[in-house]
Amino acid sequence: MHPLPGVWAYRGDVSLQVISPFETPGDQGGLPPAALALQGAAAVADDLAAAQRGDNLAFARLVRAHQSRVFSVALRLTGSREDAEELAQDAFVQLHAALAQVTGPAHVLHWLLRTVSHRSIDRLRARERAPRLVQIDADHEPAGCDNATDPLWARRLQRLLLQLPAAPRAVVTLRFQEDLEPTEIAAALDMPVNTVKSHLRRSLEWLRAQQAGDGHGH
Amino acid sequence: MDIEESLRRALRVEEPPPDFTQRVMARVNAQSQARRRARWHLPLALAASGVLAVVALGIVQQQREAQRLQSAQQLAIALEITSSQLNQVQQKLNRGQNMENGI
Repeated sequence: MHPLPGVWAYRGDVSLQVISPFETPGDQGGLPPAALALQGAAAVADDLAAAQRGDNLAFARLVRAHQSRVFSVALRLTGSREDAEELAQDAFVQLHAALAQVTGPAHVLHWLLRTVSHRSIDRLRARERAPRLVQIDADHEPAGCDNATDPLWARRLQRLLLQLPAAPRAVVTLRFQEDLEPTEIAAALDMPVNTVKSHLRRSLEWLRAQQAGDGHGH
Repeated sequence: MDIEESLRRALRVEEPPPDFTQRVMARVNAQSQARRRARWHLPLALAASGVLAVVALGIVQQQREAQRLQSAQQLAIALEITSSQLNQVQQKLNRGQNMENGI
């Protein structure tokens, strides 16, 4: 259904979460990231092959391995945990129906991020058409705010992100949450690379201006 | 702090609710069951259509046969009536001829 761009591959940081959905990274015996990446991709490949043969337990492991990232993308885009959960579930149910077309572990991730991004953008645009029907829940707890950093600024950034239009919001989320390159974002969002770069540049300029206005700039 | 680093920190991955996987699997199982049921729908519908077509064809043939029999019976009756009338005419003709001949 969706061609797999050559730039998509599991990276070390990605696979840390993918290796074993039932173990913490500490259970991996201190393997270097490259080895963990290989293990993670192999485990996902095995689960994918089993799921394609109809093994629902293997599919559940695939869900567990990817659910945080898919849910987080939907959450950043919609600003609502309820919507995010529904959209993330939809993406996995769609993946199950399209398993035969998925060609490998990297394609699973690409497929999920692409599907959840498109569905979230559609949901946002529907909201824009009926703005009074849905209330954005921007008060969800900010994720991973170390005490060493400014949690208030992190929360402010999350709220500022929700003020961006749908497409730039998706671009910024995929760039800074998923650490995707502009070419990967362009492939996921069906957008020219230059448009992705333009959204990124403008969004960062706007966020910097907000940061300066808040007194967080250095 | 640099805005890009701030964004990376602010946009860390969040966990979905603990029962997320179970909910997905419940939907997947429901979808699979629906698909399995749908897989039987077409053959069942085709089989039912076939049976209905055969029954309808049988009824039509029965009706035609009944009509054919009815037509044959009507024709037979008509022929019988015609034959009896012709006999009567023949008898009258014969009687008249005999009277002319003084028999």
